[in-house]
Amino acid sequence: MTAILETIWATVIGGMIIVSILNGLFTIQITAMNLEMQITLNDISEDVTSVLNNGILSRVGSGVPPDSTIISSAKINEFEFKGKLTNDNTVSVIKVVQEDSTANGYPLKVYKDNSLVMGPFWLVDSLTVQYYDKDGNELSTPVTTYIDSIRYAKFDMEFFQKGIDRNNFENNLRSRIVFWRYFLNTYL
Amino acid sequence: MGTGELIILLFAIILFSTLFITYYNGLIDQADTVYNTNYYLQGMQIIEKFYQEIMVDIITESKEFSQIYSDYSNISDSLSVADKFYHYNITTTYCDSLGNNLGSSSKFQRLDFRVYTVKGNQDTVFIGNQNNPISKIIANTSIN
Repeated sequence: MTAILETIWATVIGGMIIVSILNGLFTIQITAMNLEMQITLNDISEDVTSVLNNGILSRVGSGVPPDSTIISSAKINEFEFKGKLTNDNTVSVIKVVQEDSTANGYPLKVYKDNSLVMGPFWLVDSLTVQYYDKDGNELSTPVTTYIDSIRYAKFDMEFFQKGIDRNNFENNLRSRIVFWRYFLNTYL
Repeated sequence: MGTGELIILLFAIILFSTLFITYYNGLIDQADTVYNTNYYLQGMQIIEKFYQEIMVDIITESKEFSQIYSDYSNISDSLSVADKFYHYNITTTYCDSLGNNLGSSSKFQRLDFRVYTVKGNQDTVFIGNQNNPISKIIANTSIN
């Protein structure tokens, strides 16, 4: 009888130890996977922001005659302008827009002459663009009457990726970034 | 099972646990670095904002080169971005084209930026510091 009891106790204690070890390994694996996905997400966030800021938005008004309208749409989730992108020979109409929400999130896209050139990049929340005049006064969106007064804009976006969560099965890994772009051509 | 065997078993469990703790601790340290990346990126965007602001002053000729030097000679303030305060400091130094200090007026200025923010756990993240600021050089291109 004693031997049976000892065997049962040993099995119980051994089982608890094995469960603890597996639990620890599982936690480590989840943390490592989320970390790896966060690194990827940060890279994506940095790359997209860099291309948007330095490759697209820095070209606002580039190659556009002085008397022409540069900015054609300035909404909270959409910014459309004329400009000549690097290596382009002609002026195009560029639109940076966050479209309607889908099951994957809010798609951020960039169009050139109505053709998709970038995206979709998935945002966890809607894109927020705020517009300012030369004195730093914020213009209420959508900017219509004073659209020619826009001199710079502030873009607020939050990229995300599905991570793993032990309790809720999945969680959102996030990377929020706010950047400003002064439209230098509009100052000339 | 004797007492000696039991103690050995306990020691084995304790030693094995330390492996887990060490491994997990290393992972958390790495996580801290990874999550700090968001703050670094945001700090760099703030620096870029001020740099663009100065570029506007230059191209619109709203400020002379010497005025940029005096206006940005030692600015310290805070900016709220994404519900978090980023504290920044900007200094200007006359320099040569390579960014070396000259001590006197020249055609080049080095703008040194330092930004820091306090995270939720009260740790401070520095984006550029006193000894290693984020530097940008501007040149006086005016004809006169």
